[in-house]
Amino acid sequence: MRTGTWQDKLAVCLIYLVLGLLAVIVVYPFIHVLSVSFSSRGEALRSGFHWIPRQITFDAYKEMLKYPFIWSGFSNTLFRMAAGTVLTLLVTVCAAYPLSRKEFPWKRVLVMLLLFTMIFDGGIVPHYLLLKELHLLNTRWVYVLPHAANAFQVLVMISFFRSIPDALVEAARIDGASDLRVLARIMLPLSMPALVTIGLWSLVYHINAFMDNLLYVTDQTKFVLQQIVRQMLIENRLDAFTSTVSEIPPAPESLKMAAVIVSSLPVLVLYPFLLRFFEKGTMIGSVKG
Amino acid sequence: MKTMWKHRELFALYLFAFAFFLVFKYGPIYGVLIAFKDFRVVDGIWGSPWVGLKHFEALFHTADFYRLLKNTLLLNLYLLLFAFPAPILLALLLNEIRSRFFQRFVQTTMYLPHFVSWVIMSGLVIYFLSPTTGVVAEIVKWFGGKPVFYMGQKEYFRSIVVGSAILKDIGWGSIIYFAALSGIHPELHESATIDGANRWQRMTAINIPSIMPTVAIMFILSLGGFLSANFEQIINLLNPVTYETGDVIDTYVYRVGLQQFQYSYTAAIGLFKSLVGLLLILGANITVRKLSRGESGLW
Repeated sequence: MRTGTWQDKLAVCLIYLVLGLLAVIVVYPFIHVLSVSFSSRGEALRSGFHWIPRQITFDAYKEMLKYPFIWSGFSNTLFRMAAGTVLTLLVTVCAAYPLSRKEFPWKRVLVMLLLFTMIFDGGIVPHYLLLKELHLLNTRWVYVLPHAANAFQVLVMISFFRSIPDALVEAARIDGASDLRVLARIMLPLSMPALVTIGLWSLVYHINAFMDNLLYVTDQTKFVLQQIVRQMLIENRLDAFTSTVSEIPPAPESLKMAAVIVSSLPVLVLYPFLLRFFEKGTMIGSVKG
Repeated sequence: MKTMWKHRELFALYLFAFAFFLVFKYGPIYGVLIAFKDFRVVDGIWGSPWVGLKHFEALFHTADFYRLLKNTLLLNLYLLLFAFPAPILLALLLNEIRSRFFQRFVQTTMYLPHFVSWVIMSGLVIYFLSPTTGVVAEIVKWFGGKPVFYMGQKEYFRSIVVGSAILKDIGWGSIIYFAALSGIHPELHESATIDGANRWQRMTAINIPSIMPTVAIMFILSLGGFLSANFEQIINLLNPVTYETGDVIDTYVYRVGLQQFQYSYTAAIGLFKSLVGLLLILGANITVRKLSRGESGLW
């Protein structure tokens, strides 16, 4: 490795170059977005590369904060993040704990029942009709309840529970602890890494999800942040903004980019935690179920 | 019965959790029945009259169906050909680098797009590819070319989908392969170096074979979402001009089924897609098991 021929050195240089270039390609758009969101009207409308705004203004953000649906969007997104994650963890643990116990009868069949949902899906229309019959359309619960049933997460949890030494459980059983007590006192405290991982998966899912909004919710007060941003960014609907902040209203580009930043706030706040736990978590997930 | 009573607490837990699966995963499977019925909202799923395979026959007789099938298959095939190996390649390259700092830097930046929604990703793709505001147009002009309205050109649609899919998840996808590569015993590399193997030979003889089991599992898992994947992405990038190459089964079912209320007909297309997906994942699992002599595979 150290004693390289010139071909070897050239190869290493090329690898550095390719990776560096890739990193720049991936990161540049986000710098551009930040720059344009803070730019004055003339600056934002200029085409080409944007790195640092020459003149920083907050007009786009001021405009954004006056838009009422941004706030309801925030509260709906936070609701689904909180309620969704709690429920997901609850259901995942309840399914995984029995299936991880060796003495639990008909385990194979019961696991299969969950696995099947991973490989066969009813399709969009039956989902829609089901939620309609359950009167979940146009409610905030439609974001939370269906997501709780996730077979992949159950598999991850099962394999984590199984990695906890059996001797601990047996000792507790001999002392007369019930199954629930074993779960609450031994398994859960020892499973914190897995619980955090699955919790963060769920959080990120809920921050970014918009399909269930698009399919099942038409009431704009129940829209999540991503759907509000979608209307501005993809459907180009900026008519809700009546600019009165300054004489020169912010450019539509600035508004769009500010919306991108605002809607990414939850992720940006969580990002440091995400990185640390997700790398570990993906490895837990890679263990064969 | 006796064993059930003995494990009543465990059963109660399982039943509570299974109730969610029953309602939200098996419920829609029951709803698939409407593909064989003429669904009327007032009669409900069970009360609507049976019509047998009428909707499937209608399906196979329309040109739309073949366009959708072709688009869905082609798009997923391209994704499998280009987007699936991309993170493996990235992990192999990252693994060749000795500088820990540079490694961390590249990894941390490349994870970023994974945490951004497809709404934002697609919005940015549209924005950057625009002929007036887009940076891409600027680069094309710089090289003396003429910028095109890429999003309004049906020829570019699949490349845009595949390209943006790679950009979004290449970094994130590489984690698992990178972990597999870090798990290789250094002695293997040392002895190979002593035997005179160069960088390339060590990569093809040690690194790549070592991560093959991981690749196989990821391959089957990605087939699980085959034909359904990228709905969130495509629905944001698609516009009427690109329907011809970009409209896939899911986007069509959403548009025609839910927005134009053709429930039964589109449920039939959805069911067809689910069945093809099921066959694919079963087939892939059998193949992988055979190739690895029963050592790999999901079950």
